[in-house]
Amino acid sequence: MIEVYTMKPVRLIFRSLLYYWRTNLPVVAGIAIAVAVMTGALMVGRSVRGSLRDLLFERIGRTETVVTAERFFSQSLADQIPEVFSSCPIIYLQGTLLHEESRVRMHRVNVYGIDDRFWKFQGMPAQPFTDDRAALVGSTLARQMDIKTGNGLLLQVETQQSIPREWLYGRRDDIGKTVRLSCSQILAPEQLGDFALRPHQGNVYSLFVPIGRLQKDLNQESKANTILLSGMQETATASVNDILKKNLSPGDLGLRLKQTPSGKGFLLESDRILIEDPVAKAALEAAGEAGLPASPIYTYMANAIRANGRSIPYSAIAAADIGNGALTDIVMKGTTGTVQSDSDIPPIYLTDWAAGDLKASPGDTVAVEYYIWLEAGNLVTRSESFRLSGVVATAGDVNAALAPEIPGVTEAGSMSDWDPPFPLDLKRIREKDESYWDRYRATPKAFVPLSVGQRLWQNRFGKRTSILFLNNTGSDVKTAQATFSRSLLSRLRPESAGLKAHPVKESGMTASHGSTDFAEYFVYFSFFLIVSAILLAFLFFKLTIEQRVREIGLLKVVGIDSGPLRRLFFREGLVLSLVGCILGLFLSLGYGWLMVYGLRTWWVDAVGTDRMTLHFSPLDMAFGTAIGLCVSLATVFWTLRGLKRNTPRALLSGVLESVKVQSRRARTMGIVAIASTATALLLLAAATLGMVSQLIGFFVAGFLSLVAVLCAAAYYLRRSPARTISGTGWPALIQLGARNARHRPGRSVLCAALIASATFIIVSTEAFRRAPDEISLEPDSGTGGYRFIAESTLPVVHDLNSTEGREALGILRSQDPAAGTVRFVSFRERPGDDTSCLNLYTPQEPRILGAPDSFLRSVRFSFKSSLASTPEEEENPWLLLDKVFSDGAIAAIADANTIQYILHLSLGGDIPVQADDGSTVRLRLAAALNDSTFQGGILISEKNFLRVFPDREGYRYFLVDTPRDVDASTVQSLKENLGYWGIRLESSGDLLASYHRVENTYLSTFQSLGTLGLILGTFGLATVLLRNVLERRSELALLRAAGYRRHILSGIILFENILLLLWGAGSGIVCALISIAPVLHSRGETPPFLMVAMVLIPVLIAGTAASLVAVIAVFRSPLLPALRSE
Amino acid sequence: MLEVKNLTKEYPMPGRRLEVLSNIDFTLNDAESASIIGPSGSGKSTFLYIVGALEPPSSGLVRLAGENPYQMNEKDLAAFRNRKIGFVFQDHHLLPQCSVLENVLIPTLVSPPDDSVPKRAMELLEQVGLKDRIHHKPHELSGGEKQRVALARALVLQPRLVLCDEPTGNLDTESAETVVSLLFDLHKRQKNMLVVVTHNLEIAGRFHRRFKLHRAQLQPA
Repeated sequence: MIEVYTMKPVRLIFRSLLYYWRTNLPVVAGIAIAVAVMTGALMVGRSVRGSLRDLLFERIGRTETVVTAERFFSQSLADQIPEVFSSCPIIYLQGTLLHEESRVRMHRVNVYGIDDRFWKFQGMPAQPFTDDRAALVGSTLARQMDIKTGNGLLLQVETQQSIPREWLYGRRDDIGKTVRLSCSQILAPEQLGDFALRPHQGNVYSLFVPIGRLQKDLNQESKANTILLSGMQETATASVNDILKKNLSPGDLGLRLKQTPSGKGFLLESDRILIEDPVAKAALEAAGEAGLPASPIYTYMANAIRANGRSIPYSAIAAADIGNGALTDIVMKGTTGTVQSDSDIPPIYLTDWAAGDLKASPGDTVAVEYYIWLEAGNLVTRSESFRLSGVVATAGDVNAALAPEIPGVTEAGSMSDWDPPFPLDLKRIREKDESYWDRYRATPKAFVPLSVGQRLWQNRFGKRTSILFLNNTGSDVKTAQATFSRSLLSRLRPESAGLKAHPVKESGMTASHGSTDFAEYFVYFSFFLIVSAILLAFLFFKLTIEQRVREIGLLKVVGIDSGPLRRLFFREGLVLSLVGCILGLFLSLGYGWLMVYGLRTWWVDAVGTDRMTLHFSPLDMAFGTAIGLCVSLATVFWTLRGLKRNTPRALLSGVLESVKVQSRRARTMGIVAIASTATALLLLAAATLGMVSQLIGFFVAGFLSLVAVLCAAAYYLRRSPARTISGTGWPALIQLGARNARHRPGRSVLCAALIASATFIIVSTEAFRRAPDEISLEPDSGTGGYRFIAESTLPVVHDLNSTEGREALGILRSQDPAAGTVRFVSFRERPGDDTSCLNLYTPQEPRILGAPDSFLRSVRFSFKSSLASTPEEEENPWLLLDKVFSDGAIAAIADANTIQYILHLSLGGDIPVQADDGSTVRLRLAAALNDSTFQGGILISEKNFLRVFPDREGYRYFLVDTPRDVDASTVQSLKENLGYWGIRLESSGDLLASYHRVENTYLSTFQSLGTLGLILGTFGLATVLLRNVLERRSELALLRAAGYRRHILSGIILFENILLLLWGAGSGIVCALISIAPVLHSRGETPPFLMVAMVLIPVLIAGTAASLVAVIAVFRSPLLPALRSE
Repeated sequence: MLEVKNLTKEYPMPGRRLEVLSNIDFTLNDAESASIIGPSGSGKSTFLYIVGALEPPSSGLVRLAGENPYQMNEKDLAAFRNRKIGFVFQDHHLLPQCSVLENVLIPTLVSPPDDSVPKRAMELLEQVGLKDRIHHKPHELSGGEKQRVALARALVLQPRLVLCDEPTGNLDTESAETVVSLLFDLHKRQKNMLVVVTHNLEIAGRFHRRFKLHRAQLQPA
């Protein structure tokens, strides 16, 4: 037995760990809490990401890629996609839904026109429609609107028009189509009731209707505008584009080729009348390759052609280069030939009919009067003078085919039956005009040079209404047409024709990483909890070392060198750390769950969804544990560093730190205290004089004051007492209590510092809390002075400030109370991902707003920073939006919070966006708005918007100006008026407050976890106080033996402990108040006394309770043994 | 042999230096024992700690078996103390978490492996009368018993020099007598050098050589 019983370090470690379990337990607990909090924070990050991914998958179902189109295409396009993909054509629109029973209206509802193929595609049992007016309502939408099965619904969706609304021939009076439906079933989220193609964690309002119903009501028989794709091995958008390109027909792109009446050639026309530039370019290239002479034509409507005091009403006028390209066969009439036009007056050719009617001869001045639709939403009449250069015969190539087919005009039996989308004065139409119509239909009556027509009637949609090709190939026209068609399609990219493939699953998964790293945030939020836990572990490990200082001395005496000695204790620390880490690992699941529960409930405003669930991975747990282990071992190492600093003799007598070391530390603390005080005073002076930012100056000064106070206290506790305790009664006893605080000064300083720092952070954070109900309506505030924001589901192409515009929409008629007081600022919108803090997903395609020129000059809102380089730009940074950078980037403005926290960019940073033609355009951040209502999108100028997104029609976002004293009934009237048109009115203050709520929730989370840290710190302090008292048991027994009564001793102990508590909490609070003084001053607020009380009271209660427990414990122990131990 | 030459120890004090030991010469041959007496604060313990390689002198020479510990690095110095010197203090300084046997074996934690040590530890415990208490914890022992364990601990590695600082200072007369008897007995058995600092004149008188520390000087008593 003796042989095997040898003493090994491991045995000593084991014995020590067990013997000192009371102090080891808090060490293990501290490490476990730190690991749990750290790992839990990582779990929160993973849980948010995981929940967002789950939500994405739940909402997109099996959809991997979505092909969307600017215009409807044949459903059969989906069938032509190879079988390796699973595909499903649908109609996807946004609409406004009215619940007939409750009259509740919901805007921007996702409307899906589907049939059984959708459910087959999603691999789910079909949810059949009971009839063609049945609607399947998503449960979230149903809950929000209180829709029950069988309820009647009125769905308003945008009518589908090929012709641009913001052009002369666009129909502006027929934008919305109302479809009557009945709720046949309510779909749960797992039944794809929350089906959505754009990731957002908030509520999704989805409505499924029979695709046939929508096709019929939208006049888009057998057509769809979206294809869902899945089953792709690789989600390569390029391969989808290739497939689309191979299977596209001209019809899918809204193009048609038709033979000319003469049979000598063919025409390329578009459903939208105007041929888009990329298509025209490709067509002219294809014609050039095939050797086909081509003539682009831009035929427009002249309200009047005047000459010699005579006038022809409502005539087609063609801008085309006659005599060139495919128009060489146009016959000039008469012997006068042609005359050369003046350089400043463009030439015009009249048909023989028109020249005869006007009695005009070459050389005469001809005035042409026409309408122009301004993008601001007004129709204006303009006029241009021409010099008659010749007269052409109304025959041959001069025929009705040169004029586009205009709905409401072309098919009319007579001119009097015209129903054009512009004002028509029927009284001006003469008999002879009707006769012309009967004979020649829309044959142009005049020709002007193409460049002139394109200049006069310019718009952003196209510069040609047709292209005429002359077939001189020798083959028949149909063959030439087919060859040309193939050549044209090979030159077109699907994107340039508005067909775009979006890898929704892939980009959604990328987006689900989130713009906010919750793991990082929760590590920050839990910072004080982690620090408190680590300090608790440190404190108790130090306590163990202090408790065993004589043992250390003995081990040194028997020849154990500092190195092996440290290793011995380090191994003890390692075991404690490992046990703590393992325990922490289990606790982390609980902490993670609690935090995720918190995000679902207490802090739901931070995430905007209650669909958060706990996700964890071994990687997070390993990482959290590794970090916890490293930190705890570093703590152990730090504690043990002092073992070398004293002689064995001193250690044997129970002194861990020599007087010399104590003095040196005291001196260092004194120097730091003086330096911090001096720097803080300088900063305060500089901030007061405006030499540095007040906010930063005061905050840093407050923090330095805290450092100074703590160092001064450390100096006071470590230095030798200057005077002897003297006198009698309470003053002397208080002196004794204060002197007692010098017992183990390290412990006292550490505990107080912890409480002071936590208090400082909690109180100073309060200053950044925003008052949600105090939203300013000043022009330079975050609302820009606009009381409301309106968002429209349907594009508004009229000027909402004009009587005509309002009359056209049927809103705010002159009798409405709100009519005279409301002004709108209209913004164009490229729909996209919400870039505000309300969206947790990383924006992949941010929402973009086009700000009108008048707004840019109105100097509203305030800016945090900008790239302004001129005094004008500095005065009004909105002017920066006029800028296009030399490298082609377009100036953009966004909210500072969006830039920093969502986009993670800075000024000068670029945001790549896809333009309507498929190209990538960079938006460069030129200015950052200060806490504004624009957090949800990126702003560019309307001019640049129309350049990049020419296909986006109308206005969908509005800032609404109303008088400050507008009454509630007027507001209600306004809401109803706009709601009828599918425009949702929202208070700017409410929107800004919703952003503030998110910020405030983050602050609350930080403060809650900080308070937990504070409580843990207070618990540590209480335990240390208890320990201090117990360590001095014999000293207290001596005082009792010397005649001190219990209440006096209790008073001394309480004074000493409350001194430490007040010192910690008090210095934290005072220094925090210094830090936030400018913020409080600028807001005219009083210090956050409630928060101070909420912080101070628990700390004082916990500390006092611990002291009382200690006092009771001491007084319950018998006097004699305590005295004997002394 | 233990040689001490011109040993001086001073402590810095505000405005002056306090000389505790002044030019002390001292020699002790193998198997010899010596006692040192003197009033409190006279520097007895300081002398012992300096001789025991625990506290460096301000000047002078200490040499044990021809080796000067203060010329060694920390590692060698620790090994020197471990193998050549045994300490017994007024307070027993037993590790409360370890048993009697484990306390005796504490010095072996850093000594070279030696199979005879555990046996010797048991023999020593038998000699100090604690053979049946080897698994007891210090708190289960009386003051005298604790000091006997400390004695066994000091001798377990058969040091050349055993230094005792008031070994009976905390003991009653009977326990003190037992400890002193054991001290002499074991000294005779191990033939080591023994230096004991004590206030007890009766105990001091039982040593072969007796010294008195007075005014920083070591004088024969």
